Amino acid sequence: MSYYCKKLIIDKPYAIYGQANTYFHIMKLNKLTKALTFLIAIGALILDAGAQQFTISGYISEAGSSEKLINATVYNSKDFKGTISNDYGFYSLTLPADSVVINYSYVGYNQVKYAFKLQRDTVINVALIPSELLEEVVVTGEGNDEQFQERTQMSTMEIPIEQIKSLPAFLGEVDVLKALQLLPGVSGGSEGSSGLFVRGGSPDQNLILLDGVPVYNASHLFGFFSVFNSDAINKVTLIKGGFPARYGGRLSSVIDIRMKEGNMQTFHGEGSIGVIASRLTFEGPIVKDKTSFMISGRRTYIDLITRPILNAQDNEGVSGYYFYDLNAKINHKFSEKDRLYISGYFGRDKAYFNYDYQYDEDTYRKEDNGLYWGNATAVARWNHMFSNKVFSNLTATFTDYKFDIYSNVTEENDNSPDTYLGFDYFSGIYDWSLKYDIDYVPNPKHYLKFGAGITYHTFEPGATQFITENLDDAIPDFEFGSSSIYATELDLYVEDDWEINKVFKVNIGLHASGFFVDDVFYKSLQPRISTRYLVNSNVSIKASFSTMTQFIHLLTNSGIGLPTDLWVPATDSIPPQNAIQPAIGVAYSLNKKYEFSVEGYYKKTNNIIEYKDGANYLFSGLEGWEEKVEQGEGWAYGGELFIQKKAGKLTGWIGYTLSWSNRQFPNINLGEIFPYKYDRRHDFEVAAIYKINDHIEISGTWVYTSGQPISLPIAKYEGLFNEAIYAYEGRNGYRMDPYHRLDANIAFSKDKGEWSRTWNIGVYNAYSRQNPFFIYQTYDYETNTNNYRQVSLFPIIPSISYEFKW
Amino acid sequence: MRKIKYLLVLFTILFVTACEKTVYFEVETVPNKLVLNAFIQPDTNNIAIIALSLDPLAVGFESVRVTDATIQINKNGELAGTYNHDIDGIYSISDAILNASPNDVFDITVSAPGRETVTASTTIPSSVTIDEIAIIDTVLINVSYSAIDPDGNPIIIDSLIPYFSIKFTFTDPIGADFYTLQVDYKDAYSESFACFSTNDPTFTVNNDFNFGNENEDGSTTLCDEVLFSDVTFDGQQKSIVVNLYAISGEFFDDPRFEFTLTHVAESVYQYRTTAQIQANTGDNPFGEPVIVYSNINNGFGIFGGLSVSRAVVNL
Repeated sequence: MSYYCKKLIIDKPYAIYGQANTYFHIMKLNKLTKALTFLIAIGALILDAGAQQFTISGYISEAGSSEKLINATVYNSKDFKGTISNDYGFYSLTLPADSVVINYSYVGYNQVKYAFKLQRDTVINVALIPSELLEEVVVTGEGNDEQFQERTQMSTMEIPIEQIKSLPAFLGEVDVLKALQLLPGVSGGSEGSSGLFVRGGSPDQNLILLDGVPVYNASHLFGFFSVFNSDAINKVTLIKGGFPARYGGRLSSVIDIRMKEGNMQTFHGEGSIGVIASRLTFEGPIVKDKTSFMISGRRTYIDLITRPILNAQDNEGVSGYYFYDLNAKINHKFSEKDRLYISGYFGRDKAYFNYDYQYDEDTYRKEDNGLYWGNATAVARWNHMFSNKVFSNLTATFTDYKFDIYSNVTEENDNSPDTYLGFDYFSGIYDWSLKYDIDYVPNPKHYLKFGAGITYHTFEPGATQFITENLDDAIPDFEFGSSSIYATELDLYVEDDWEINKVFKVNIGLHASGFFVDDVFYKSLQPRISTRYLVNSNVSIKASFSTMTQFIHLLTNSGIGLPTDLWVPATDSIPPQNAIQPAIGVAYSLNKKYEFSVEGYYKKTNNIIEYKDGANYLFSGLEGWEEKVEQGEGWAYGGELFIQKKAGKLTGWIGYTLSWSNRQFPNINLGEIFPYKYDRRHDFEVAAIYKINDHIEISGTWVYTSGQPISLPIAKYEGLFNEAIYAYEGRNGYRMDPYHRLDANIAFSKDKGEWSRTWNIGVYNAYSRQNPFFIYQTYDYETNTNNYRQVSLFPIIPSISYEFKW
Repeated sequence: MRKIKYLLVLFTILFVTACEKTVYFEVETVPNKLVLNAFIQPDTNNIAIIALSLDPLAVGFESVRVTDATIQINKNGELAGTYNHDIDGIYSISDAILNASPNDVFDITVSAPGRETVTASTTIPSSVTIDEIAIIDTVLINVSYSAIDPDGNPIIIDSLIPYFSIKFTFTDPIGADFYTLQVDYKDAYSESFACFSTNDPTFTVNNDFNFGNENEDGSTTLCDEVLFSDVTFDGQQKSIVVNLYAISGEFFDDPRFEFTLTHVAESVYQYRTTAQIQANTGDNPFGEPVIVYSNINNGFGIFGGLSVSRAVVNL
């Protein structure tokens, strides 16, 4: 543990101080800005009463890259009043005029202290140095950051991206969402899936934000990989309950993923060559200390490897599958008060089958068939600091998810014009959104956030299109399917993180939302509260209550993120989903190395949808979908235990969840309550990373989950018309075998000056557990018997990848 | 470098061998439970069919009937009689013994050697009669159908046949009630059920289990015995118009349509609807299995009360 401590007496209106990678600016604020601050804050001035006070504000970033540090801690060690940096690294701390010792800290970075006499509003921009860059630091990751027991927010997990990268990865592909599956309260669904089922919720109830933009389908390869390229990501936060009022629109979780901003100082790159995919990332300054960029790409290449083999077998056809992602970001600092971020993501999965052959003597036929799906997001954010207490963010976003199946047949004929027949089925959802958020920090006791947003949704249901050219018996070009549905969603929120006294802190807020669709308007007021009672410096008791409303539904039979899933809005006959979730917990921190938490929760959801018995969904589009679904209720409750070791050679965590998740629909399962298909009674996970030395690191994860409930017949019997009727012990009345799996990885790193490389050798499912994926009935001709057979996907899969950085 | 080559070869072998595996899977089943299928209907001799449940994995389906069962039935809490075994697991009790009437409560107990005794209970629904029935319109429509001429050649025959609109009326009691409707064409030489189309919302609301065909004009065509509830007309006098034609292009002696409106116990409605959905969706690989309703304690099947009303429209 080490830190820098500088004692300063600031007696000039303007002062600049800097050393190594740590510096700060002190500026006198002009009257105009103060006046503006006053106007914006007038409603909250009552909070600002008291003796003469001054505000210290600025940005906290990483030394060397200028990457903003989110939730870094700032506090005055004289009176222990403090705050944390927001999503853009901005902080504001108002203190009485006096001598102060301001501490800046962040996990994995060296703490910085400044002592000076606070006599005026002061701007301090701080660049913290990563611990590992300093030789005298023995233990990395130890810092005086705000301990988790001190935070108001509960049910929130953050995994540093470096820790995610250290964990074993399926086929060597580091996956953010799979790392989240290792946390208590989060279930991964089925084998290999990157789906998330949080506290008994369904996948559509997760608000997955990439730089603040919702991502509607976060899956590649039918759910085996997520769309998030770990090299492009800076921070991942999972919120399972006690949702702050600024979030809305989903019931079960918020997964807030922030992309890297790009190094403001020097050019860097990193990449990876793996078994199935490779990644490459560049970042650096466009104008030093002013403008930076980051661009990152990933592509699988199974199709490139297998194409020669397939071609050798059948030289007329080419088939394959691949996916790719592209992340990009530009970050420009206009001034100390104004910054602009523009970022985007584009990803596609594509499976194709192209077939060229001589159809007959005169005709050569070309068939081009395939399907593709993917997301595109774009966001522009403008940060503006109105004053040292008021920070604003204007965000414009676009997101779209698209699914398409196509078949194009062209015939080149020697004696007649070429003919063409095209078929295309497509569906999707597109959102345009504008929102404005303001952080106002009147004093250390209050941190106000408020804002408003509007989102314009376009739901494109399944539609089919036929196009022909020069066909003798051509039918006219036509398109059928439901027309697009348009909806407008409005959001308003206000929240205050309020330190009532030294031991009692509360985050109280209100999220109001409205939804226009067709001629219907739904409105919703969602109060939120999270409280923290500090028993002593190491232990706190937390409680929260949140209500959530979700105006969109996902039509799915699978729950594993099939690209055919359709997003649909609430309608006059299918009202929005809503939920309430109270939770209570205890947080305990020991020596700042260990964290323990126990939480209990209860979640009641209403108006969730499920296909009626017997309703079919595939390619049926939205035509009459409202008649095909049932609306019902859900109950999820349970307890979660989380033990984490944050520092030392051995780091990692143990998580355990005991939970129930049940659902009830009027006409499903005879109206009786049944276990949700992702109900898991026990969920146990261990993640460990052991750094043997500076060059070798081993890691392992082990997960154990109760078996998935499924419906299997227990008997068959004669019906009224002598037909066979199958009897079940209710829907999902049978449990498959438990799921457990051990993954391991060993990483060999080497630094060669500016260049470093890492070999990762890993194994997925190390002891080759045959975990159930699904069960089906089959007939054995040899024995003339029917049997159930369990399909297990991945017995043991080794992987190797090569990572490099410069 | 040699080590890396060795590792790559090793990983390639392991990767290629890592593929889908299947294992046999044992599921606890409940074969040999008693299955009871019985209705109680006033003014008729009632039967019960007793069988055994089978292992769901049994190859094929041949019901195993129980011939040595004892069936006792209580009416309104008192022993009314026992069923006699007629043939192959079919048991009967005469109306003279049972003397069932609407609103009577029946409790049935079925026991058989070596089998767990099963019980069930039902109430006879009130009598709902067809108050009025009449042909309200008739049009001639051209129908083409294929046939075989005397020489064995396929031919197309065009024929004009009458298409009837028939309206019938009944009075629904207050409370949740459930019905079946069947229309049969009958003449001196033949009889068979008739399909009909209707625009009545009764048959389009919650119509999943009837599997009717939706027509371009918004009507629904339904065949065989159709289930419906009074959700759209609870406690009201209800008139329904159905459109249908005789299945034959030519009428024989005494042609007529016979309408059978059966007021059924809710248990019967639930059993019939869920069984129909299961039968029609069993092959959907993406669908969830449908749970069929049963009111038989310790066993399977259905025990329910019916009240039947019939009306005839002569053509």
